[in-house]
Amino acid sequence: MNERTLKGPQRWLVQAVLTLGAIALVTPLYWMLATSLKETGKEWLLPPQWIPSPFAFENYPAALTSLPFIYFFRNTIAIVVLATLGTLWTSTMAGFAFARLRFPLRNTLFACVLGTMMLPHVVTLIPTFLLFKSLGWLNTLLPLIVPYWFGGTAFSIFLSRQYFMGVPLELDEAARVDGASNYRIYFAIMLPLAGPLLAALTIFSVLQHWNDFMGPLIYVNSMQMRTLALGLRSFQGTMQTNFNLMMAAATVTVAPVIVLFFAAQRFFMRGVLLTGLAGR
Amino acid sequence: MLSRRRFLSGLAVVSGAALLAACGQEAAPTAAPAKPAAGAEPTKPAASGAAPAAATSAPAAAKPAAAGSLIEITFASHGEVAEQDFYKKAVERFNQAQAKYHATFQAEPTNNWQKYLTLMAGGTMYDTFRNEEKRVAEFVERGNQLLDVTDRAQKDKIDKEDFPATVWDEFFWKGKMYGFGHDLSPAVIFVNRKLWKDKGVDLPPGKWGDPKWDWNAFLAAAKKLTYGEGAQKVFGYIGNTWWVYMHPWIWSNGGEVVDKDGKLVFDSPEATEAWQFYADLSNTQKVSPVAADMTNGPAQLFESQRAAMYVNNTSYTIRARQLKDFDWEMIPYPTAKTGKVFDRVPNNLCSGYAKTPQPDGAWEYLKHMASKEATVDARGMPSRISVASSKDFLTRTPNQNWQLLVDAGQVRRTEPRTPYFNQFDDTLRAAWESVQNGNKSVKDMFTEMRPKLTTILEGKG
Repeated sequence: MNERTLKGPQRWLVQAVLTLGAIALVTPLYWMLATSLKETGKEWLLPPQWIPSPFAFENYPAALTSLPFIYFFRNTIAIVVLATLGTLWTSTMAGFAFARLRFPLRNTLFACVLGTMMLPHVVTLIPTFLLFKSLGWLNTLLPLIVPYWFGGTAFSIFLSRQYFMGVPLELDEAARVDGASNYRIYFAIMLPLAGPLLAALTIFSVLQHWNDFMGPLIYVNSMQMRTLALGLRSFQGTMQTNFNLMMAAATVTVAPVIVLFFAAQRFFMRGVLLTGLAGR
Repeated sequence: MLSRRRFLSGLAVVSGAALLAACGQEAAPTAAPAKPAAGAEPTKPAASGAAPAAATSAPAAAKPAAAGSLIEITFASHGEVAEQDFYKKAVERFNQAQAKYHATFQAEPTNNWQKYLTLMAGGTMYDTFRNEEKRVAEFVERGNQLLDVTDRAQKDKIDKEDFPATVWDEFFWKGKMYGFGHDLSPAVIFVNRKLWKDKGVDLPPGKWGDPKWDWNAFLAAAKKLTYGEGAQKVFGYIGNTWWVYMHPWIWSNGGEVVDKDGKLVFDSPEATEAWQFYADLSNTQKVSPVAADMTNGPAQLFESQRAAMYVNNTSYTIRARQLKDFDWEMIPYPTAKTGKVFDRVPNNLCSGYAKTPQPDGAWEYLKHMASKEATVDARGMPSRISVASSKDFLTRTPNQNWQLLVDAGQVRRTEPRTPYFNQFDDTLRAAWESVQNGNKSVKDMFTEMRPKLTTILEGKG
C-alpha cells in the first residue's frame, strides 16, 4: 500500500506526519538563511527573529570579501571532482575484484581493507603527513586527491563489493564464453549496471570531501590553497563566533550540495536501496 | 548506454585538466609581480628581484616590494577574521619597514594547536607564530620546538623595563627566552549597562580590589539582575565554563590549582570555597545558566539582552565594538574575603620555531611584534606599558573604562606552567563543566580528578 492508495483520515494523517518531518528538516536550513541576514548580536534573540529586521544583506559581501572565497570554491571543487572520480573508478574496480574474481587470500585482503576502517584518523595523521612531506606534496591539493585514486575508501570498496555480489554471475559467464577479459566484463557489463551504486558513491564522496576539515587544515597552509570548510571555520574565534557572517558564507557554500542532492535524489535512493538489498 | 571508450576518454580529459589545475601550488592571484614561495616550505629566499606577495590573505592586496632579494619569513596566528586583522596590520608594518626580510601572514583557524604539533613533527612549522605563555613549557619540554632567543635578546639589549615584570618572566622557561610579547588578554566582566539601569542597580567601582565590590556585593547584584522565567529568563551573570576562568576566584580567595612546585592543590579549603561559590551561582542561586544552556556560546546570551554580566577576555572588545545599540562596559572581578583580587591575564607572546632555517629573520620578526609600532595594533591590551598607557589605547572607545585593563597588570597572574598543560586541561575541563551542569558535586570532582590530574602532572599520564 502506498500513500496514493490511502483514503480519508489515513491519508491526512500520513500527509501531516510527512509535513511535520519536512518542516523539521527544513527549519535548520531556514534558520541558517535567516541568521545570515541578521545584524551582529541579533542572532540569538528570544523569541527568535524568524524574519530578520532589518535585513542585513551586507553580511554577504562582508563574509565573502573578508576571505578569498573564490579560491576556496575553486580548490574545493577540484578536490571534490578529482577525489570522487578516483573513488568511483578505483573502488568499483576493487569491489568488482573482491566480488567476482577468484585469487589467493581474497577474503583476508578484504578483511584487511575493512580493518583500516577501525583505525582512528589521528593514529595515521603524522605518518601520512611525513609521507606527503617526503613527496613534496605539502601545500598542494595532492594529498587530498591522490589517495582516492588508490581504492577510494574502505567503505566505498565494501559498498561496491556488496553491489557487485548481487549481479547475477550468469552475465560474467556469458561474457567469458564470448571471450571477454576481466576488464571488458568490468567496463562493458558491470559498470553500465552500476548506475545506482555510482550515484550513491558520488553522493557519499562529494559530501565527505566538501565537508572535510582536518585534511585541508593539516596539508594546506597558504590562503589561496584552502577550502570552503576551512574558510567557514575562520569566522569562529577562540571565545566567540560571528554567526551571521558564518551563516552567510555557509548559505553560499551549501547551495551546490543541496542542488546536487535534489538532482541526484532518485539515483541516491535507488543506490541505497539496491546496495542494502544486495548484501548476500 | 555509455561505451567504455567514451567513458575512458571523458574521464581522462576531465581528470587531466583538473589535475593540472589543482596539483601545483597556487598561481599568482593577480597580475602582481611574482611572489616568493609560500606555504609548505616556510622559509625560502625570494628570487632575486622578485617582489613578494601581499602579507595578507586577501589576494587583491598583493603589492610590489622593493627591489632586491628578500628573505621570506612566515608568521602564523589563529582566531577569527576580525582578530586576524590586527595581526595582519602588524605584518604589513614589518614589511614596510624591512629591507632584508619579508613576512607572509598565515591565518589559521582556531583548531590550530593540533596542526602546529603535526607541522612540528614534520619539521615544517612556520618560522614564527602566535603562542601562549601556558604552552611554552610543553613546546620546549616535549621536543624542544621553540627557538631559543636568549643570546639574541641580550645582544640587542631589549628594553625589558617597558614590560610588566611578570610578563617579561613568562618569555622564559628554565632560564631561556622562547618568546617575545605582543599583547595580553586580561579577563574582565563585561556588563550590559541597560539591564543594570533598568533594574536600578549601580555599576560597581571601576577599580580592582575595591572592598565594596566583594563576593557578597557581586552575588547581591547578580540576584537583582536575574528575573523572568523559561526561555525569557534574564541572568545576572554568565561565566565562562572553561576551568581556567576559575583562577581569579581561586587566587583571590587564597587558593591555587597547582602550586609553584607543580603540586596539585585544587582542593585546598580556599580553592574549594571558590569552586563551590561559583558552582552555586548556577546550581543553587540560579543567577547563572547551567553550562548546557550555553552550547552556542555564552556571548550569544549576553548579546541577546539575556545576561547583565558576562566574563570574557579583551578579545571580546573587538566584537563588542561591532554591536549596534548595545551599551557595554567592563568591570573588575569582585574582591574576595581575603581583601585581594587577582586577574587571569594570558600573555599572547610570539615564538619562533626551533628548526627555522632563518633564525635571525625569525628574531627580527619577534622583535617587531614586541615593538611599540606593532603593539599599537594589538588585538588585546598591548604588552608594552608605554603603549598600553597611551591615550590612543585608553580612548579606543569613548564610553568604556580601558584603564581597567591596564590596571589588571597590577593584579595579573597566569595559569600554572606545566609541560602537560594540554592533557591537564582536557581532563579537568569536562569534569568542571559537569559540575556546572549540576551533574556532579565539587567534592565528587575532586575525588574523581585528583588521581588523574596527579598522574598527569607527574608526567605519567
